[in-house]
Amino acid sequence: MTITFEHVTVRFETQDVLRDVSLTFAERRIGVIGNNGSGKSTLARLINGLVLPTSGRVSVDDLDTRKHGQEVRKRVGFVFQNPDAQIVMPTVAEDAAFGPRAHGLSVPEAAARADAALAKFNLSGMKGRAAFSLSGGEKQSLALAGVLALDPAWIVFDEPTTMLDRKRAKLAMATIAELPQRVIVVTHHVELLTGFERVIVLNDGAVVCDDKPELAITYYNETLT
Amino acid sequence: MSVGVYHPGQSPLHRLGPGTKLLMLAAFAVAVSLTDNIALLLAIGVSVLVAWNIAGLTWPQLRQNVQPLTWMLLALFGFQFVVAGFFSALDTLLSLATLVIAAALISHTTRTDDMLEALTIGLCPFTRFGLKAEDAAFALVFAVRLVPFVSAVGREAIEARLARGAGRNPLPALVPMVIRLMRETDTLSEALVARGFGRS
Repeated sequence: MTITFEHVTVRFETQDVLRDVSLTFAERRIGVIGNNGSGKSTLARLINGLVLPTSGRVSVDDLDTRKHGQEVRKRVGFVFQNPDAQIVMPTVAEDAAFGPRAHGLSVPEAAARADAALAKFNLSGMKGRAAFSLSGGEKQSLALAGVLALDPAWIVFDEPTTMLDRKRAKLAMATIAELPQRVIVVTHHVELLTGFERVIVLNDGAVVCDDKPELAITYYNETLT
Repeated sequence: MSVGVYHPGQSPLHRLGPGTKLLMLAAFAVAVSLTDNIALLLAIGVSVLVAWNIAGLTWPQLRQNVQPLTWMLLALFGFQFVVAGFFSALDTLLSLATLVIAAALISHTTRTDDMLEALTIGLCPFTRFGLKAEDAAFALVFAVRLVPFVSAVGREAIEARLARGAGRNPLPALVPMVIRLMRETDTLSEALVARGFGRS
């Protein structure tokens, strides 16, 4: 199970957001750090085809994100910074079942997947509630449950704790640590990457450090902050 | 409970097929827009409220559905009053309010999946013109999810103006509200794709 970037460049209008990035991800816990505008969110979005490379190739298990977007998104779940943006259906149960339904599962199959995912986050008692009326922490849990209902091999988190208070941020990171999936966390909160196997530092659209967390974080703190 | 969310129950409306309910709503919309008899509109309004009660829905739930549209309804009433007079304005107000409540009644008593299936079947004849029935059905259902979202963005835009010393007039808040909605819509569409909808 690998994710590969081959000489990837992403250009928005006249600006290169990522420049000639080549990487291979196979570890279970990978962090991506960098300042605002460094290209880390674009790198995250490339992984499940939300953004396509201007040149180069991104593949997940040899599936090109450009040609096999839907198949790639089955394997790579994406958790957005703002859980409100991820909720697309009126009730909790319907929202959790949305991904499996969109990927072609029948209504009972999708409901079973959704039930199992909601149970993991103690949301079973809220299935009929309006998703929009949940608290911030509950919405975050629902967003993750909706991704887990697809049973992806990888989950990409884009700034998962930016909108949370310290208590909820700790809880979110504990949840992420326990996930059986391979995880890529994009953040500028370096303290969240404890126990990770690899950290990539981006600056101005290029990979400037790719190392063990303690070395990469030291580089980031000393050079870029 | 929030706008358009399915409310489980065993009422006759809950048991009615989703296709039948949607056809009834369409016929209801045509009838309400064709009549300008105020007494008849009032009678129709009362029957919708009786149906609301029979479906086991509450009055606070009714308020939740109508409240986000209050400004729009009042603005339309004002416009019609100036352009065409009181009775025409009252006709517009009653027709729209009744229609909103009837639509809410249908969505509160119909599961989203059942609604999607019925709409997809209903839109099938249009596939010959290039319409993707499933996508169009989803867009219609998704609009229900957006009502509280749009309402929240509007409230925040007005609050932002209030916090900076402006008055309660909602009209100047429209521009920042529309700009933010466009930005948020981009994020929502990205989330739809990330979760498997649409793009191949």
